Amino acid sequence: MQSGLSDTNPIIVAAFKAALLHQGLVIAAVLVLLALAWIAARGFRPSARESRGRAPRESTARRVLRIGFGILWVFDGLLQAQPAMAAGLPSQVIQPAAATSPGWVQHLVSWGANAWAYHPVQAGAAAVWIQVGIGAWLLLAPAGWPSRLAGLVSAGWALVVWVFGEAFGGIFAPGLTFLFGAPGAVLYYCAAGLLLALPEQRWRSVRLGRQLIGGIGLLLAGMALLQAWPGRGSWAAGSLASMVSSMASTPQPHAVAAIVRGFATLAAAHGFAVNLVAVLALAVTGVALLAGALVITRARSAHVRARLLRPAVMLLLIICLADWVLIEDFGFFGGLGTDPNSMIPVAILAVAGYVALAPVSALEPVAAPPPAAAARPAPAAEPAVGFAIPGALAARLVRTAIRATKGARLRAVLGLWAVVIVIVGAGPMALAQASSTASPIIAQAIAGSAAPLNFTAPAFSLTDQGGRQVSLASLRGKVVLLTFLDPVCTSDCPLIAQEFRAADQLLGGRAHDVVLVAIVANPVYRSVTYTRAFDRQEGLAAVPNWLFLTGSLSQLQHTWGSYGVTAAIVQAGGMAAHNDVAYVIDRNGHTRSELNFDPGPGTASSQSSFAGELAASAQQVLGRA
Amino acid sequence: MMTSSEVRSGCHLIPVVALTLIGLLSLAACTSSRPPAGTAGTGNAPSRSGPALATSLAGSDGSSWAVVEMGATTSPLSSFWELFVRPDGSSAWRLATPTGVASNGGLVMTQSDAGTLVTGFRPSQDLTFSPLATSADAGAEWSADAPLNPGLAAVPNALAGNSAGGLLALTRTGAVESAASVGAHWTSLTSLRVLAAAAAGRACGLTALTAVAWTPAGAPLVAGDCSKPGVTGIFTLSGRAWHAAAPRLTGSAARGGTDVVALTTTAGRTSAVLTVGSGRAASVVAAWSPDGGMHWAQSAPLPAPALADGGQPSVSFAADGSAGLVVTQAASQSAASQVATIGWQARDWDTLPALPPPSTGSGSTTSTRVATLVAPASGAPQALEVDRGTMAVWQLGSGGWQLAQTVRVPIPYGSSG
Repeated sequence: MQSGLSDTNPIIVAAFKAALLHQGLVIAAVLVLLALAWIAARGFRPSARESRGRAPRESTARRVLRIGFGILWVFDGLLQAQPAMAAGLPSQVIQPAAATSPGWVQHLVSWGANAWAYHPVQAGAAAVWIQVGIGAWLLLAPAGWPSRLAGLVSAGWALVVWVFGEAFGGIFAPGLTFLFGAPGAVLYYCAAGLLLALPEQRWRSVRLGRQLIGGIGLLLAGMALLQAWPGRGSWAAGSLASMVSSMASTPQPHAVAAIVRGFATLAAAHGFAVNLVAVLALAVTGVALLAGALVITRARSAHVRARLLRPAVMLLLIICLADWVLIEDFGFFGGLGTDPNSMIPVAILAVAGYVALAPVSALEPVAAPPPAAAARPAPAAEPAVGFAIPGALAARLVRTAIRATKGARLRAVLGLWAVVIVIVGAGPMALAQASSTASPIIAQAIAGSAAPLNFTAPAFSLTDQGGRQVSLASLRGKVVLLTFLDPVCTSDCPLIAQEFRAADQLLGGRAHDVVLVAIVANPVYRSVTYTRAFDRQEGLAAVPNWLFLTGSLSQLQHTWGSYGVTAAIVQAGGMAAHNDVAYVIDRNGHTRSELNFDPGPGTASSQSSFAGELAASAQQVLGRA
Repeated sequence: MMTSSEVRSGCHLIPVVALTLIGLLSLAACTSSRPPAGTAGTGNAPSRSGPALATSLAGSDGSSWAVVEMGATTSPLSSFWELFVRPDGSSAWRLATPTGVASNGGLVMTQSDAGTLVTGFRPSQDLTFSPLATSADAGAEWSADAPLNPGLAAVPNALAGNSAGGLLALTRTGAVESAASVGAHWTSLTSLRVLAAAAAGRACGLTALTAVAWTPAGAPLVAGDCSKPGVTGIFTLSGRAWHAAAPRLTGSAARGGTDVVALTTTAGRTSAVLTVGSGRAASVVAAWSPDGGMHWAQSAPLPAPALADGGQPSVSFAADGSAGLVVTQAASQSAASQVATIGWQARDWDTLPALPPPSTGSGSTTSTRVATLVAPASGAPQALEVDRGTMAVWQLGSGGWQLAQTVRVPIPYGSSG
């Protein structure tokens, strides 16, 4: 009987938490090292004139965008640390997001979901630290090329998430609606990242603000048109209500659920009116923003901003807030929420665009470091006590490092630390991807770990699929991977057979020292014609070291009993019920390990993991010989 | 920086854009409408559904057998096909489903030599071939026989046995295979592709194979769906070539394409039930041949509008070739099933009354659907009604349907994975 892999499987959750902790410790250690290095470098600061330098300048609008999305990325990263994320994200979030999209989108998304599912712990931890790292980078690097690079990395990662995590924001699926996050929340992160990657001087004119506000206006107007389009179900009473109701049913505080449910009731009763309000609100806001962007100039900036754009942005913020609470239900409840959905990013972009329309004088410098350094004397030519490293070469290296850190700001060091967070997060996942076999933790989570044993394997003498007599003794000299399969099984046994086949392939050249043996586990359908039919079905007929053994009912019953296997008839059209187990028997006929071989959900990742576990067990026994 | 003329033109754009957008929105809002109720499934008339697997047959030893779908039929893994038997001399039905294999994919049955019933399990999930089992003692004991690979087609007459023990099988890939006896090696006889390319197949516009049977003389019969009006797709093998052995439909029955939904030969009589026409004009015709397809008699068409809405016909034959018909409404509809019988070579169908409402009958609270009819050669027919794990047996009497028996089956939910 197959058992599923629960989102909160304790083995995977424990491994996930452990991975986060270990990576967190590495990140903390790096922070400490960087802090020490910075402190030491401060002791050898050059003259005050060199240390002041020119502080980079950042516009208010850019700062709004940078800090807003920096916080969002950190928050999203922390959401990724929820216990169910590692095991649950591919099947509960990623693949359902693509369920109604065209086949090519589903294929692309499945590739990404499989990559995650093969290494859930590494992938889950990577998502946490990459996003936290990007957020920290944005927050800690205010200007200059580090900040622009942060924007670019943010945009790149957002694009990856938009494609593989949001299935392109559902733009290829029916039922697209701005109210539920179209064209994808993370696409706004991508836009913000690209804006942050722009040179500083682009933020000094109203043009960027016009483009941003105009773009938002155009988006809203288009979404209003889409929302109003007939035949898409938006005007029907049930469509919005059913979506909102489903949001209300996710685990969340009762008060919040009550509010959302209340709105669902309203939408169910007055669907046409609710949609009309949404359409008009989006249309009016979109037209106002677009119009404001078209007519604003440097001379008329204050007038247009006050009379047209400010009310429009206020209205947009109200729309965003209302939608975020009533329809998107905050976006992050339920244990698998990955972000607060689209309304917050839209609001931040709108505010940044509005602020960017302010006159040039709003350009503000980043706070320069305190002038306390001017009171310090010039550094000594040689390192102080803390660097008592012998050797002229080492001393020269240290002097070079110190010169490199001359004038280093605290924020630059912290920005470097943020980059390290991203690398620490991505590294293990990148390494894991080098292996084509799924992580063994999946098999262990489904069926537990292999139990080490050491006793003489019970003897058997049965008939193989070619009609030949095969006994366990005749297989001495080879490692035997033994299991029990029902040749007319509709679920578990075909999966187990494929896992055996895959394990044989993983063994490579050592497969000739291994025999894969299955014994029939069905008291009715046990003839050689059925073992052959099963072999053909599973592509095992051509596998040279595969044996599917059967015999008389009494022979089989004796063998089942010897190996702790039960095979019982189920009335009324049920499959024969038997336990799923595998044994590894060494060359001398000793049972070395027993694996609970419940194949689980039969996904590509679980099958790969079981095959890997079986191959590893065989390799272990082969290595002992 | 914009010039004053650009500002003016920009200002002029505002009302234009606004009016255009408002106009489009108004047009969209006014022309949007909720689809009217009850329109689901209308529009282009859907093609007819294939025959239901639920059926019954009369054994030559006097026993009756029935195959019905039980369990939670909306979920493939919670739906189990069950076999029931009413042994000769008994008035009670009992469960006789062969054990050892999951029946989620469907059950097909046929009578082989006298008293032997052969059943085949249709593939489901990862099982791609059909295990077979036979019983010679009214289902008390079953023995496993050689499997059929690929598996059986999803039609009730996918297996056919003759009195000499020979078997015919229609596979889900459209191949027809034969075996000299139960357990013997299967050999390929023909296929949809070959038959459709033959002269007889082209004459009918053969599009699918739907049933196999034997002539009284022991020649194979293969039936299918024809696209050409008035032509029925029943073929027999003579020598090495396949020839048409079908009735020529007349009257209103000749106006549309025909599907053979059931075909059997019992006691020297070949019986067939066809669906003809399409849409609301769909109807059912029975046809009989006493000489293996050389001559046919046909009934008047029985209108069956439910076929146009996805209703599936379940056909059962008695030992004398009389037929019972149940057209079950599609799942989305709530009307009761259409139930009718027709005697051997009779002209008109006898429409039977609807079953009593569930609350006064079997205790079922959800269904008034008849799964299949048991059409005895003599005596009144029985209707088998299923609700999850309960089968109700209704006997038609002078006062209408009377509940004769209730059989509760321990459905093995969750056993298939």
